[in-house]
Amino acid sequence: MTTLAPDTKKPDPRLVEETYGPSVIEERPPEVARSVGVFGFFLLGGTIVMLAWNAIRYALGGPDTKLPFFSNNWIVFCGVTAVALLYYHAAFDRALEVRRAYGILAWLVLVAGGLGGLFWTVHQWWGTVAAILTAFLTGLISVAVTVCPWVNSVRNETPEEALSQTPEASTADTSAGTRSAWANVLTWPNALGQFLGRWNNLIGTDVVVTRITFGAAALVALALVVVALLVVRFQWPALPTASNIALILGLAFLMTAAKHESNEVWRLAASYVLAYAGYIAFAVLALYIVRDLVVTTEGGLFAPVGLLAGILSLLFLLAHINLAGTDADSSYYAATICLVFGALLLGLLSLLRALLPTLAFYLSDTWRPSAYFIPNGLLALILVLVQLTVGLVTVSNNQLVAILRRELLAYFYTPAAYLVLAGLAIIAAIQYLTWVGILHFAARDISRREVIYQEPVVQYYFYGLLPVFALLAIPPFLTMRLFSEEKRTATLEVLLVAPVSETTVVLGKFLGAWCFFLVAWGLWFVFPLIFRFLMGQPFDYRPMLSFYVGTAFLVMSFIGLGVFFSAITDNQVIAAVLSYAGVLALFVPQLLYWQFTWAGRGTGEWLVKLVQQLSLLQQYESFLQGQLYLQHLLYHISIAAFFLFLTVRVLESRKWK
Amino acid sequence: MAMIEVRDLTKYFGNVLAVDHVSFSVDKGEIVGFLGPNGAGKTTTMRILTTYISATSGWAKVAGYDVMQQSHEVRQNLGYLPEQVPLYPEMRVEEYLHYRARLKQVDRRQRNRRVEYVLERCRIVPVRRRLIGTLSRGYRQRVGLADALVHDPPILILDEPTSGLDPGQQQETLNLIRELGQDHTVLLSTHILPEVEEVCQRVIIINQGRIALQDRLSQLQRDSHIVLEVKAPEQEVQRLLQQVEGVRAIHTVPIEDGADGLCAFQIETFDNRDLRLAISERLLRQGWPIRRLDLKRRSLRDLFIQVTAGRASSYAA
Repeated sequence: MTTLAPDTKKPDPRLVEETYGPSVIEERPPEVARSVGVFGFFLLGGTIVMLAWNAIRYALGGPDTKLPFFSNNWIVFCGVTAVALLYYHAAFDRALEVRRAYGILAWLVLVAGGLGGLFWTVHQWWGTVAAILTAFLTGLISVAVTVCPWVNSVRNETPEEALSQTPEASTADTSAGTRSAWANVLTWPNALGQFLGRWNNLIGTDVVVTRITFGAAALVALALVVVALLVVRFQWPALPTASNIALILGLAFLMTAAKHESNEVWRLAASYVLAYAGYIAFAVLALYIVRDLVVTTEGGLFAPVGLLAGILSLLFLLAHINLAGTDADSSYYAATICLVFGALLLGLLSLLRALLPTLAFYLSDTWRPSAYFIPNGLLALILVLVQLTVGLVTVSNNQLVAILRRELLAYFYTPAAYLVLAGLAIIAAIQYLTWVGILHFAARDISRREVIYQEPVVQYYFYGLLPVFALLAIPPFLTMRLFSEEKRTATLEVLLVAPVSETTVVLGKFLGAWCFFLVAWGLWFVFPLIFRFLMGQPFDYRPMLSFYVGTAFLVMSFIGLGVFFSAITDNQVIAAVLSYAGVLALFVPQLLYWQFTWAGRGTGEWLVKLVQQLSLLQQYESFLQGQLYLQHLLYHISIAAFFLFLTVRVLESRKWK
Repeated sequence: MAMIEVRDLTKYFGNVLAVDHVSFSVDKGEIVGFLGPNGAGKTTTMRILTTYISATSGWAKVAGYDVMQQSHEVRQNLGYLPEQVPLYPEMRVEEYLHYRARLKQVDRRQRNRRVEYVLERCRIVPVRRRLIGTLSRGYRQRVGLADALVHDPPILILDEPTSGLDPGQQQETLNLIRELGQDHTVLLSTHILPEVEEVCQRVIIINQGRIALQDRLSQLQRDSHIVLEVKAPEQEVQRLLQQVEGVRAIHTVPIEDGADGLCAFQIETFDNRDLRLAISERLLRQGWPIRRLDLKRRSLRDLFIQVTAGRASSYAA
C-alpha cells in the first residue's frame, strides 16, 4: 500500500486557522460588515451618551429638574439598532481580532448580566450600569486595538526589529509629516494599539498577542466597573430586564464568536460556560417551581422570574449543544438529560401544583391551596413542554429531524439569517417608537375625553405597513434557496439517493424554514418586555400570544408555497420572484374586500363574507384581537399541505419524466 | 449470487435514446469497470441503479431488490459517489458525515464508530473539522467516498471516482477501491483505462447506450503478439521466421532509425503462444544482433478504441 503525501500543501496555519477562523468558506472582503459594524458602534456610542446624559441630569437636578432629556424610546431604538448592526458585523467579519473582540465583549456582557441578575434580589441599579459600562468600554478598547493599523504592522516583525524601530519613524511613515499634540490625542486608539502591538511583539506569537491585548482591555473594563459600582448607589427597577437582555445578548455574541473560534481551548471554554449558565438558570427554574409547590398559600411566583430563567436555560443549553455537537462528543448528553428529564420532572411537579386545589377539595376539609393553573401553571407547563420537545429534537435520530436541523443551521451560515433578524429587530424598534408615541398621545387625549383608543393596545404596535410588509417579505426570502440551491449544486441527487422519502425531505425543509421564521418572529416580544419591565408599564399582553400563534399559521401557507416554487427551478431569484407572486395572489382577496367595502354597493352578501374570511389583513386583525378562528388556521394549513403535496410530486417527477 | 442484475434496461430522454437494452450482472465481491466514451450512458445507467431516475423499460435489481418497486431497500444497500461529488460547502466534514449517517439510519450505537471508521479509511481525519467548502478536490472526493461508505453498504456504485484528481491522488483512490473490493461489490465507471486494468476484474464497455463488450479482463487481454527488432536483411529474417512452428503471420513494421540495416516485425502466433525463445534461438544461430524481442499483450486502450470506433463515423454521418 503506497502512502502518498496529502494532496494539499499544508497551508500556513496562522493564515487559515487563526486569522480567518475555521468557519470561512471563502474569504469575503469584510468591508461591508465592517462599515455596518462601525455604524452600529457609533449608534451604540450615541446610546451610551444619551443614557449618560440622562443619568447626569438626574444626578444634578433630581427628579423634578427642568433640564432637557432624551426620551427612553430613542435610547431603546438606537440601542437595538446598534446591537443588530454589531451582531451582523460580529457574524461576518471573521478577522481574528474582531471576532475575539466580540467574544470577549460577549463574555463580559454575560458576566455583567449574571451579576445584574444577582443584584436584582437586592434591587441595586448599579448592576445595570456596570453591565452597560463594561460592555461599552470593553468594546471601545477592543475595537480601538482592532482597527488601529499598528497592531497589524508591528506584529509581523521580529522582536529585534520592533525594538530597533522608533515609534517616531513609523508614525512619520503613516501620517507623513508633523503632527500636533492635539492630533496625537485624537489618535489615542492608534497610540494604544502601538503600545500593545509593540509590547505583544516582545512576548510571542500572534495568538498570544491578541489574547494579552484583550486581556488588558478586559482588565481596564473591569476596573472601570468597580469604579462604577463604587460611584453609583441608586435603586433602579429596570435591573431584571436589563440583566436578562444582557444575558441573551452575551449568549448571541459569544455563540457567534465561539462558532468561528479556531482555538479548541477557547471554543471549549465558551461551550462549557454556556452549559453551566444553562444549568444555573435551570436550577433557578426548578427552585421557583418547587417553591410554588411548597408554599401553597399564595398564587405562585413562577410567572416572571421562573419563566425567564426557564427560557434562558433553554437558550443556553441549546447553544451549548450546538457548540459541542451532538455527534462525536458526548458532552451534550448532560444538557439533553437536563432538558428532557429535568423538564419532565418539573412538568409533573407543576401539574401536581395545578391540581392541588382540586385534590385538596376532595382530600381535606381545612386545607385550601390557592389556585395556580392560570396563568402560572399553564405557563410552566408550556415552558417545560417546549424544553422537552427541544431536548428530544436535539437527540432524535429521526430523518425528518436530521433534515430540519441541517436546514435550520444552514440559515446561519449565510447572511440571510442575520439580515432577517437584524431587519426584524429594526422594524420592531420603529414600530415600538410609533407605538409609544401613540400611547403618549392617547394618555393626553383620554384625559381630554376626545379620542377613543381600542383595547388591545398592542395592536398599535403590530398593525402597520412595516410589520405586514415583513410578514409578507420574509417567508419567500427564507424558502427561495431550499431546493433551488440543492438543484443547482446537484446535492439533491445525493440527498434523494439516501434511503429517505421525498415526503420526509420536503417536510424537513418546510419545518426548518418555519421554525426559523418562528424564532425570528419572536423578536416582536423584546420591546413589549422592555416596555413592561424597563418602564414599569403594565398592559394587556395576551393578544400578543394569539397574534404570534395566528401569524405562525399564516406564514405556513407562504412557506409551503415558497418551498414549491423553489423546487421547480434551480435559480434562487426565479424561485423568490415566483414565491412573491404567489404571496401576492394570496393577498388578492384582501384587495377584493377593500374594493367591495369601499364601493359600498350590494355586491352579494355571501361574496363579501367569503372574501372577508380569506383576506389576510382581516385575519391579521382578528389575531390581534385575540381571536383564533379555526377556519383561518385551516385555510393556511390546507394551502401549505396542498403546495407541499405538489412539491413531493415535483421531486418524484424526475422518475417519470 | 448477482448483487446487481440488469435486464434490457432502456432509457429515453424525450426522443433521445440514452440507454438501449443494456443487460449485465455483477456478482458478489466483484470489482467491475464500467467503461465508455463520454455520453455513452454510463451515468444514466448508474442513476437508474441508484433509483434516482427510472428506466423507460427493462428492469434492474440491486441486492435482490427491484430498483423501481423497492427503491427504499435498494438505497439502504447502496453507496453512491456521483461524478461531481456534490457536498454542502457550509458543513464541516465530521458534521456532514454524522448528518448523512443519521439520514441513512445507521444505528445510533454504531454511528460514532462508523463515522470514525470511514474518516480513517478515507484518510480524512486531518480535515475532520474543516468546512467542506475549503477542501481541495481530492479531499472532497474522499469525503464523498466516506459518505458512500458510512452505512456500510454491500454495494458501491462509483461514478468516475478519479476524475479531476492528480496522479498521486488517483493512485491512492484506486488502492482504496481495491481494498474496498474485499468486502464490497463495486461498480466503477471511468474512461481512464489504466485504472481499470489496475483494479477491475471485469469490464463492461458501453457505447452509444449499448453494451459493446463485456468480459473478464484476463480474457480480454489474452490476445498478444511478438515484437522483434533485429539487425539483418529483411527478406532473410522473414524467411527464417516463417519456418518457426506456430507463427501465423508476420508484418513488417517501419522503424524510425532503420538506417543501419535494422528491421522490425510484428509476429502473430497461433493460440497466442509465446515463441520468443524459439525465435531468438534461430536468430542467434545466424549471428544477427537482436535489439528487441518482446511479447506485447493487447492493451485495453486498443480494445476500447476498436470497440468504440463506430462513434466517429456516426458523428460524421
